[in-house]
Amino acid sequence: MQMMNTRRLANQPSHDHVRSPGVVRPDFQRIGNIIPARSTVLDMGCGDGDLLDYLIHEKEVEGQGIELSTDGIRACVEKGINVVQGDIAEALENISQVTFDYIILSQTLHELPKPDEIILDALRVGKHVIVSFFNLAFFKYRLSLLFKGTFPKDFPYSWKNTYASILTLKDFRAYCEEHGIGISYEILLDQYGKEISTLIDNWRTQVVVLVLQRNRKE
Amino acid sequence: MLHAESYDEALTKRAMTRDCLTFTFADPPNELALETGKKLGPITLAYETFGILNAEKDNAILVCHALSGDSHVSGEGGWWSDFIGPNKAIDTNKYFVICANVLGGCAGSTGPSSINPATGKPYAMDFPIITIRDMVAAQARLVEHLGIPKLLAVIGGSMGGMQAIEWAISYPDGVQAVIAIATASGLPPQGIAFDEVGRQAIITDETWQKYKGNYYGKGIPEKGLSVARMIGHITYLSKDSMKEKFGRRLQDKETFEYSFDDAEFQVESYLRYQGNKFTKRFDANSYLYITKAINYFDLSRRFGSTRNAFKNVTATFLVISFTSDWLYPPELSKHVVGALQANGVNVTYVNIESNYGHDAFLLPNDVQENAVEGFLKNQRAKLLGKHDADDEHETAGESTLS
Repeated sequence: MQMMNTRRLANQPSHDHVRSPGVVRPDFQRIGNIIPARSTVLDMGCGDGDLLDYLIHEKEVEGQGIELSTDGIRACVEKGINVVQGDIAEALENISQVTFDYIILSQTLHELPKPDEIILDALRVGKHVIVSFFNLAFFKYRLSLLFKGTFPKDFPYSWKNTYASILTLKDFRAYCEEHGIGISYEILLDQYGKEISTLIDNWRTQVVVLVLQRNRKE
Repeated sequence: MLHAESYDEALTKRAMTRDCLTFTFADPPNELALETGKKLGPITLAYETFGILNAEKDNAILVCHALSGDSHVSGEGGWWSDFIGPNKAIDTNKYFVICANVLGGCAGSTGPSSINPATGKPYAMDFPIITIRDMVAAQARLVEHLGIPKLLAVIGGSMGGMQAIEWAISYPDGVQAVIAIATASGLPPQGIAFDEVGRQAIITDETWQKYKGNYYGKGIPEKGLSVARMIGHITYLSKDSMKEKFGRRLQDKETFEYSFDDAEFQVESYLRYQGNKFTKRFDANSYLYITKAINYFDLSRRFGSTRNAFKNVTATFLVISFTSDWLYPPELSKHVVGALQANGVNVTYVNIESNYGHDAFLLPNDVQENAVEGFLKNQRAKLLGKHDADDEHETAGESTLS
């Protein structure tokens, strides 16, 4: 999903690696706004490391990534990002205690066989967990289903190569409620990458960014 | 192509005409204190260097070889020439590469075949047991002798990877980055088992037995050493690479001979050839001592846990494993990575898809080359950034690196 722009390592010295602010994904910027400077961050499913690269340079975080694809790993190594190749569930198992201020699951849920278990495990080793995902209840998707009976062509992933992550904002809130997970921060982005806050948010939101933390046990 | 051919070819050709530098230290009474409590001295290390040490002396990379390697890591006939050299992944136009034959070895450094100054005869089995830690302690003396305050990186595969890890533990201020390839914090029982079969083959060889290991000048325990090497080669390959290379094909014949005389299958012929060739270049006692050192390496035993072992580590790590390596399987690397992470050590881990088994690290591999090149480039950039920052601090200039 996030594996665009992978380049050969040899051709790009790290000094020349320029991040132009114009192309920063809107959810990257929002995540950057949430995370305090110099936090420790683990990006699970970090792809080519663009988000970590952004956070390391803009927020001076101590960043680390987990990524399965070799292309992603190459791109991260090129950027000088600490990245571990492997499966997210396995990597989490290896971490025995609270180690990170923030754990990020940026548009990765649909690539995980058991996303709910990963979220709970991430809450074990991270003080905060940031999840972002595409809201299937976004009105364009609904209309496409209603009138055409298919997902729109520009929908970011397909049933062919992902787990069936049939997830809406409303469903996710219910899941958090059920598991005693607190949502300390909600950022809802519409189709133009603008933040929205209205009562009909589930309808208008295309991308959801949530900050989760475990509710303290009484 | 399997490594064994080019790798062994290179090492064999050179065995007789070795041309390297030497450094001798630990002259009595200042012998090197070994991990076992014994003392050894004087010690000579045979080493070679490639590239030029810069004025700041901060571009040095130490390469640690595996069980049967030597100091000739690069250049004509070097065992890692595809990987290290001008414009290679480890670019000797940029970096100053050092490689020394290990303590206990037989390619110029002090080992069981060296003359014991106390007796004027080869040490043979009087040579003390040495460990990975001792090998690294000797390398550290060499690095000091070369006037290098801190290595940019230490890199090694297999036993070389153990040495690289040991560097980060024993000399946290002596190395900025560690590249540990196809290695482990402790070899599992399966690996020890194969090593033990190899050692028993040597020790039960009639020549070895006849002279109780002190065979120098009298003979060579050829059969035993050859069998040991054959076993070794099996563990370095994978079932897929063997299938691909040999299949069930016969050597120079169409039908079975129904006899034990000649090597009938290609795989038999290959192993016999490799085993035989090895006896021309390697000392059987070095094989005993070095495999023992590999088997004794156990960080979790020494420190209570692997995690504890990395408590004072400051180096940044690049850990690489290969999917088909069953001698040092990826799980062992993952264990090292987990233990490093638990200590907040910066670590990058790459598990490379390959069919070539443990040998894969010696073969040309795009992913390994890119990972190492990129990692070193960023380590160097970090160092230069620090220099820049220091300079700027002095001149109160503006920062060029964020």
